[in-house]
Amino acid sequence: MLALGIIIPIIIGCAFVHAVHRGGGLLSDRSHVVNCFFIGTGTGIGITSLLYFLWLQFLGSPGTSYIIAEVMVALCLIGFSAWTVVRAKNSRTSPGQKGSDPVPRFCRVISAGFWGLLALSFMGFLLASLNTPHGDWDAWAMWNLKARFLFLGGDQWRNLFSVTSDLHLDYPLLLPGFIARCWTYVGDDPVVVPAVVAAVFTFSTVGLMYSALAVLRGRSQGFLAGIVLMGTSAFLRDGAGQYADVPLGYYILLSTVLVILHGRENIQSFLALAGLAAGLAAWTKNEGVLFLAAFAVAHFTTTLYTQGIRNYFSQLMKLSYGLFPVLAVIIFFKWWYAPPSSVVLAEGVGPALEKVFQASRHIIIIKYILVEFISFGGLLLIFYWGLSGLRMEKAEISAIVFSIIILSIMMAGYYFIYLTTSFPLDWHLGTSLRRILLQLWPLFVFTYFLALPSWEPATIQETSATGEKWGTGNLL
Amino acid sequence: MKTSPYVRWGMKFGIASLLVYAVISCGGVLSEQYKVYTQFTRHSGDPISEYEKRFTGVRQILPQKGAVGFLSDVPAPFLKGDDGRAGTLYLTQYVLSPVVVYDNAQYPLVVGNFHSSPHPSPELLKILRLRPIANFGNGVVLFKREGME
Repeated sequence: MLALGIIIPIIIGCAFVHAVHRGGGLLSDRSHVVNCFFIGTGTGIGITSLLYFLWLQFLGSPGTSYIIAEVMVALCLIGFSAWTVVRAKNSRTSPGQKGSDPVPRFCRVISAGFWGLLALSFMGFLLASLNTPHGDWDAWAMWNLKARFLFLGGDQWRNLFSVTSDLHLDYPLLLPGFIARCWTYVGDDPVVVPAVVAAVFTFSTVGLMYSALAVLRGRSQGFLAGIVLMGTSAFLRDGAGQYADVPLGYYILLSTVLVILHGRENIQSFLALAGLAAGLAAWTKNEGVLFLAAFAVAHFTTTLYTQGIRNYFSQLMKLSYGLFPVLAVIIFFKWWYAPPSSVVLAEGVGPALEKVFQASRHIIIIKYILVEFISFGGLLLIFYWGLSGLRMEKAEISAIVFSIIILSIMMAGYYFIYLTTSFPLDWHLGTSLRRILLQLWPLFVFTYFLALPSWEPATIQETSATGEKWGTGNLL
Repeated sequence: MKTSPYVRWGMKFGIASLLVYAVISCGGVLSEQYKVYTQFTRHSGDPISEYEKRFTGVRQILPQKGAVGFLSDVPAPFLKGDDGRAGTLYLTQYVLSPVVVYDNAQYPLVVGNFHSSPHPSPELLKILRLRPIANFGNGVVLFKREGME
């Protein structure tokens, strides 16, 4: 039943992505199929987590009827998705098969390195999960605790909001909702479920990173990015520790990738999916709300500059199709259940302003950030950029600027929170900075490899060369 | 984009460095976790599961839902520093959920979680008006508060 509980949301997600896109070219080659799978995984998990919460809220404790309803949704989406494939085949001329170029030997070395490292990381993850099946502090004290209330609490699940407020009751419920939903499938609350969910998010982030870069910049670039991500020990450790920062990092990466793919392929439905993913980031952790703001500013700036105000509003409308339903649930949750957050300006404006002008606080924060950046392997990335001739792909400039704006705004936001924190600064940085940076690390690595020269042409460039036009018959 | 052979060789070297770094880093996690597994987990399980086992008895007696008070002496052995006291409460909350655990003894039922002996003195129990109704012999005691239903 656990396998079914994990497979159903992936099916729902993939079929949803495909159905929204009306089959238009998503399955045209292997890289796109893989990309669709990793986009669909997180989308499905997010959608089912929302459905579980809404069911709990309005229909009471979910049981067998919930499972049947979810399976029905999956079947309907598969049916619709299959229909769109048939329809798309009938309305298009099939693109000529492009002869595949011989793969350079060194690319095979990179590919072998990626798969070897994936096996190594999986074993490390497995052992770490066996050592801490309940996860690290945040996992058992927040996410799994909440999941237990949602699943075991029955009609009294709202008692969750009576426990001590130190346990961040204002945090949204994507992870607890999804874990409780899987427990509903299993009919019990085994600790293996949160560990499996953590594995799905950790390795889906690697998969999404690889597949998106494979589509945009070629497979070797995707493999390299995956290698760097798996080589970040904090990513593996915190992934296995069941921290929500890894799922948040996944959704931050997903929404950015979808906007960039939209820019490259002009697939309108990707914008709606990007809006949905951005909303799911905010449904994962409070920091996701900061991401929403950063995402909105980055989209406004880049679209206005490259395409003008009219296109901006047209795109904003499409983004909102995906974003608004999730945002409505988040607002409802915050309004009805969540106590006010205690992190931002907890002491008021006056003392916070005083801290802003203390040079020592700036020095401490910068020192911590540099140490973490180095521990993530940042120096090696600078070294590799130097060896690549310090060049950047000019064709990717708007995508790179879009990502950099998001990263900069989020870093500025976190910097400000640390600067004005009411907690002892060293303690606050020491206990949270690594995880906070981990939220942004997948997007940083993605942007880095998007910007750097690649070994081989990207799938999109190849398909453009065949003259294939995408984006016809879109839903949005 | 055309790249000079020097840059391509440089990139090859850089990629090899990235790969070596990633293998060392990933291998480090694997060996560290393997050590923990062979030295501790394989023999005694993980600390939280062990902690949870202590509460198996009290979970069977407590109502499925509702609220209880909480009384404790020292932090759980594997929780260090300032987080110890709070961590003990959070852990107890985690293992007893969906029953809500409040950090005071003003409830009809109070769960005691003690790691040192002797367990709370009869004088303290008298002041708090608590009467032990079940002692599970592992530091976990269920109290009833006198005069409260």
